[in-house]
Amino acid sequence: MKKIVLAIATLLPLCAVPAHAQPAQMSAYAEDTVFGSDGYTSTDGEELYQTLCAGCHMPDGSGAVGAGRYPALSDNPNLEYAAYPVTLIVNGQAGMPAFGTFLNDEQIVALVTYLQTDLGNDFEPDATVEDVAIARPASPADPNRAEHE
Amino acid sequence: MTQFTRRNLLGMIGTAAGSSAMYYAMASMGHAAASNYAGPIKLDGDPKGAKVLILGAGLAGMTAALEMRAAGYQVEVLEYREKAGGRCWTLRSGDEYTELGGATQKVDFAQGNYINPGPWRLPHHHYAVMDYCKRLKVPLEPFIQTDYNAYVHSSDAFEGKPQRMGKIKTDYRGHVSELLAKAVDQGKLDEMVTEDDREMLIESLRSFGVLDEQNAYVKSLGTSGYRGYEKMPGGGADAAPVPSDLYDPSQVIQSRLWRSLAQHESLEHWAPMFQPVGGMDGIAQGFEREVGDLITYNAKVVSLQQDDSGVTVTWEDTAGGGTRTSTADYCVCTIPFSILGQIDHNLSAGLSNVISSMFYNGSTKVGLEFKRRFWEQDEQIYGGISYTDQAITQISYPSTGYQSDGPAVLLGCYTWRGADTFKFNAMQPAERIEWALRQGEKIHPQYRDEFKTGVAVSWHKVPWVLGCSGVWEDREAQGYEEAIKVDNRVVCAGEHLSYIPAWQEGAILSSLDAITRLHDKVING
Repeated sequence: MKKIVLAIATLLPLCAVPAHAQPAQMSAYAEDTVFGSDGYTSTDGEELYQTLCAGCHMPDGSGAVGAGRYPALSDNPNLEYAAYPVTLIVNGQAGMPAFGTFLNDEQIVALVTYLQTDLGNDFEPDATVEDVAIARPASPADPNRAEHE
Repeated sequence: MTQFTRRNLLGMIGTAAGSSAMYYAMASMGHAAASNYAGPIKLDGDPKGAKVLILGAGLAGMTAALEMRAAGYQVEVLEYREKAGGRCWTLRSGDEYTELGGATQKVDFAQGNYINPGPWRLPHHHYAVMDYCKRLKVPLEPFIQTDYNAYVHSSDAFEGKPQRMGKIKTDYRGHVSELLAKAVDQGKLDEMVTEDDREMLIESLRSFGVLDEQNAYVKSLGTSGYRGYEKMPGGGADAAPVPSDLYDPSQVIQSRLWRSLAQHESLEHWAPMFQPVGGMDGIAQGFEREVGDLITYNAKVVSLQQDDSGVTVTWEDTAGGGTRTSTADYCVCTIPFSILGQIDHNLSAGLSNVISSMFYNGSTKVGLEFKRRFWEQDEQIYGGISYTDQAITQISYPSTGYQSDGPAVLLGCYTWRGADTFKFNAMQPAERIEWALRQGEKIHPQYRDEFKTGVAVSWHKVPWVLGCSGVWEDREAQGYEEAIKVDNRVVCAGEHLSYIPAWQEGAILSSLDAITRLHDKVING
């Protein structure tokens, strides 16, 4: 069901209309968002992707290009083995922040499994909680530490 | 040999160089708050026609362009966007903004209304920004950070009803002062308070906390004179003031609303703060008036190479098409590391490591335009900021146009890092706006009836920077010193290479320091 709503939501960018007072068209994920200090609580790979990763890598995994770019995750051979996405999600790389403190081991396994089997990828999912635990640094960066407000 | 005393040294500097030089000297000697802005930069020595290529026409790049041309360099500036300013950016009626993913927003604000998606307020102690605004004739006006009549709000406190900050502040201070005064009076703090200090401390707490002669914080016309009355004093008949009930101490402490009070006290938010009249991009336009003739817009840098003889930059003309090349003797690169890390370059290994390991902050801002200033007309809130524990974190009311009729724009959401920022980032603009309305209407029930239009910017989706500022977890471990070095013929600059990240002051100070060191190398080898 969520997939259908999402398909409609991805068409929205084509209609460049000002957000007037009529009720906004909300995707199911946006509608169901729970904000707050608990952060990300879902253990569903698709939901985690669509409410976190999709912001940059886009709902269909197509990535984006501006002055720089966000890599596409669809049809991405780097996702064949879980070690690579697990390491990137836990520790970040270049412009991508580390999400190790946002997500627990189970959530990262669910997310990587989604990446390996959806968004146009058809790999044998091989992520395990042990892999995630190994990838975690001894003293993880705190993504909420603010030097500025 | 004469021994200089500090006073006669200052006297000499004052006589020789005028009072502003004396001020900077005093500041550096600890008499006033010191900054490493030492007044207008002086790049002495003849660069003999050397050419410098500046990448990026944000504040760091335009500062370098302005000062290096003045010092005698040939200057060329390449800018990815169609206009100058970078993150010093204002969205106003008629503008269009397309974020990554393709969502385009047409800003439908009334004429003259705007939102600053990036920097939006200037601390008075950001000396470099203030000085450039003066030199570039950018008119400033007060930015109201603190408004005692704005709200503090927590979903779990006071049944979710927003509270006037002045009431909470006065009650918090009063109750805490009462506790402390009583403890001191009863001798419970004798180990920490000397007998000499005891009486003076209690007297000060009576003043600070509005306590009575028994050191109690109680309902009275006296305390109402600080927290607000049940009925304000008036004139003529039936005009006597009626004091207001105090909130219970436990209620005030448990509400956690005191968390918002400290926002106003940090140095960065000390009153007075300022804003450029008409939008933050007034600063960008001020610089552009000076150096606009040097800037090539719509130039997407794809390669930055240097060797013993010079610097070669390859760029795509995104407006006219085609690939072009610019060469120079030196380069000041203000491209954010989030972008530079994806550009083909042959910078040193040390610098490259920092470039490719720096990630960028996310932040979300939502501007909401309402048909009328209900916060002024219904709630007597004139500028300032209401804080909430909801994801939007705050509502900032316009610091200008008071009492005017017609639509006005407020900042309806400002997130900084954290999971909520990523949740907003994963949404479409209309969804972010809808959530800003859902949360804002808990504070202002007028929201739905009065809403006209909105615009939402999530910084991870801004095509030319991919985030709002560079993040240092540990400057020493990550190589800050390496990153600011002049790397052969190239030096990097921007807010990301400062100790004031995400502030324009950091961008300008970084640039001034970088070009000073580059110039020294050019002149002295």
